Amino acid sequence: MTRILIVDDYPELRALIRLTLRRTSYELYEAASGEEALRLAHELIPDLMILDVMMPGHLDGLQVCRAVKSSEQLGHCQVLLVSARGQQSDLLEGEKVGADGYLVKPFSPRLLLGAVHERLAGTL
Amino acid sequence: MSRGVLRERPQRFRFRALTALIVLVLAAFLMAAIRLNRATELSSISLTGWGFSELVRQVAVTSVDAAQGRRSDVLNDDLAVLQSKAEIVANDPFTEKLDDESAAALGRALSAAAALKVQALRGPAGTVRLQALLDDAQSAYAGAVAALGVQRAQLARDLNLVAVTLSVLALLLALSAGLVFRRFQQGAAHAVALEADRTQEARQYAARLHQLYEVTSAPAADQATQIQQLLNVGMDVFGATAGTFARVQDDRLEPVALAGDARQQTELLQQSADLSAGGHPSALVVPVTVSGERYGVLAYHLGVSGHLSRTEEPLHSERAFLRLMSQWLGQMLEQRRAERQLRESEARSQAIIRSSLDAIITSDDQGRVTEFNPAAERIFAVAREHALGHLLADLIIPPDARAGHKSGMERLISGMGGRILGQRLELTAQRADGTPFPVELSVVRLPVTPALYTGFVRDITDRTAAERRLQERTQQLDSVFRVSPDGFVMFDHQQRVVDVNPAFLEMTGLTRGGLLGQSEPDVTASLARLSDPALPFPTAVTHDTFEVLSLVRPTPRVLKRSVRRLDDLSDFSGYVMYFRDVTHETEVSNMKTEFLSTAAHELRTPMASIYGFAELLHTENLDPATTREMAEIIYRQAERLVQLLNELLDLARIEARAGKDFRITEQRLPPLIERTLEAFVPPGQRGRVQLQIDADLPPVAVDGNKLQQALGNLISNAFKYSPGETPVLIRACALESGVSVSVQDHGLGMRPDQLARAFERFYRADSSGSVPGTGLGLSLVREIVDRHGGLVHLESRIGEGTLATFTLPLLGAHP
Repeated sequence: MTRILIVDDYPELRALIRLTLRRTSYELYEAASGEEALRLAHELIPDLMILDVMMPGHLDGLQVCRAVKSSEQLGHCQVLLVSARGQQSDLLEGEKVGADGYLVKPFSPRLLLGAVHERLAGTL
Repeated sequence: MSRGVLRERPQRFRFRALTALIVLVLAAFLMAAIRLNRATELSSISLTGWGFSELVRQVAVTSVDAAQGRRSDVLNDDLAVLQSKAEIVANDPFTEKLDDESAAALGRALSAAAALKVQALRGPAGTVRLQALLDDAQSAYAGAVAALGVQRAQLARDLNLVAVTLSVLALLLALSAGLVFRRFQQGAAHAVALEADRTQEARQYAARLHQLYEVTSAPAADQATQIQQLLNVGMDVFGATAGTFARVQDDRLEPVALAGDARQQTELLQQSADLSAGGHPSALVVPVTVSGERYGVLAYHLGVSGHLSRTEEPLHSERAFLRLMSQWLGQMLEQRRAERQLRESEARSQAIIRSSLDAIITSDDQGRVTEFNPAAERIFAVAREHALGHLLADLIIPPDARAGHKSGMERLISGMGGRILGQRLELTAQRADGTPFPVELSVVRLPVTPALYTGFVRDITDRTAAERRLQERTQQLDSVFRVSPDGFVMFDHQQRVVDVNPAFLEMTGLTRGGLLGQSEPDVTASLARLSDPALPFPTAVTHDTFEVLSLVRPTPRVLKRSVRRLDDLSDFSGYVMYFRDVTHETEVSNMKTEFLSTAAHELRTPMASIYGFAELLHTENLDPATTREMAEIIYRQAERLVQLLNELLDLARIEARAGKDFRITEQRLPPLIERTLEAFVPPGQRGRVQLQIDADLPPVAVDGNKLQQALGNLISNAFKYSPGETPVLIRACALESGVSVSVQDHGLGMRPDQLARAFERFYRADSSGSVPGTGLGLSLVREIVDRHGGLVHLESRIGEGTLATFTLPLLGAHP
């Protein structure tokens, strides 16, 4: 089964993403902070993380992404960054930490669904 | 004219003949003199003879007087005369020449005369005595006459001898004269003729010189006429057939004056061009020099058929005259040139004086104006006619400077003008209407007698004003430089520091002494050492752009640096490095960027929920329960968005208007607190509120609505972060300087790091999302209390609760 880890500090956003992906066959997991996300990631070894960039706490989305991408165990996991910051410099920042995609809030659920399918096209 | 050559005789012969003649003449004179001496002697003897006759005559007179019985005194006189005459005869050397008889008679007569008395003369005895004396005297006289005759014969002989000597002399003279004459005859004739010639020649020469003089000294109409006249004089004097005067022009000869035969003129010009070739034998050629430089050539052709025989070479005197002509012509031309130069120089001087921008004023030693140029008329506004003859003191010297001017003139005249002459003085002069103005004066003494003084006066009103303006401007700029909050480092053209201002030293902590003389790279290196090593240091200083330096020492600062060349602005060919402290601006700018970024995030997050759920609702068929849930989320998020926007707008408005739109009124706090509680305490929680309000609380000056918002936010926070039934304590008490209001809960509390960031915008102590809020509440509280002139203070411990306090100043103390 393909696993997706949804990371956002806002429960409404997690609910939105969950509802958007509810009719797919992916297994959905949620985390509300960077620390929780990393812990769950190592536990679940997801295929894709939908990761909010700006989160309170010690680890923000960019740091989580970098940690995931540099981890041997999680190396194959794709990361789709979601952020309220949509400037060019923010996108570049995302690229630097190895993110595979970038969505700017507010986003269209259909676009998110398309992006997730595209990312996971080669996996089962 | 006649021309002859004196053939000179040998001089020696003439001297010898003359010597012989002189010797002969001397000899003859010697002989004659000897003879004549003897004759003179004889003549003195003949004079002596007269004494004897006198003696005889006196004896006779005395005898007659005695015979006539004259009075004794007469006889006495007669006797005295007789005795004196006898004495004369006795002393006469001629007595020696007498014969013996005569000498005896004389002896008797003399002794008788000496012995005679007056009484002895009277009577017959007397007559006898006197007769005897007379006889003796006559005898002596006769003897003397005879002796004289002998002497006279001798004299005649001597004189004959002299005559003979002289005759011989005459014969000798005649002889030698004849000899000499024969020899000199021809030469003398020549000499006489030559003398006559010379006189004639001299007369002619004088006439020609006069002619030359007339021509050269006459004030002829113009130079060409004068030269032509001079050429014609030469034609006449030399009897020439052609004459030319050519002038040297660029190494060629240009004919200036011509006379006579045209063909010969051409020949003359050719010869003139080649003076060194010796020239034609029958031509007279002479260079003419003016002021030591060759000016031209004067030439005459003597022809072969002139009015005299011109086959001979030109004479010495002709050449001399030609040289004279050349000399005079040269002098004449030189004088002409000098006159012309003088005229030109005079004209130039006049032109300079007339066109000078400086006033040029000449005065005599009494200070009376003798010259006043147009610039002087303009500068002093005095017409020349009005200035001439007037005293300088009355015209252009201000009254209070007249005494100084007078003593200055006196010093000048007495020769002690050293202080004034040749100096450049700055004085005050006066225009015609009495306006004083600054001038620059220099005075020269003109070398004439009595002395004239020329003053050159320049109106320096504009210059002085410009200097003053420049000085003021410099002082202004200097003080700007000193007090400017911006830092300046001035470099000279060699990139060395020449000046730094205090602001720069304050910014960098560098010392003036350490900086002066340093090169630009040195200064840049010093700045680099002060800078944040983590940031790249901009080394390339480009002109007219700027770069940002981030200093960490002596205090963290952000400086904007630019460089500007000064060449365009002033003569100073260096440049200035300019530093502006933009620390505050940078902080504000960073804060704004951060705020915008955060605000965007906070706005986008609820918007993301609204947008996403709305799209799902719109595009999908969902079951009613999900639909309801989504609608609720959309509603909550929209509400949150509205609250965020309101609070942001409130904050922005308070900041932008700086509290100017606050409607401050006198309020009593207890009712205000009560109203706030009604609005902000969550429903059903009113029981948890504990109030402690001082009874003597003074009224405060506040904007009621704004203060309610601030207090409300604190109360909301207290309830949000203190779940359960713990009390919320609200206190209001009077302070010395105002009142304080506090809200205390016993809820979650904050860690120190959370507490430190509590007033940051959008900062939420709870990041779980379970506590609703915008993160702007405390920011708003601080802004509102600040604008009221109060302070906000937070105390908190994790797990124990939070105490928020704000103060308000007393009524009347409000700014």
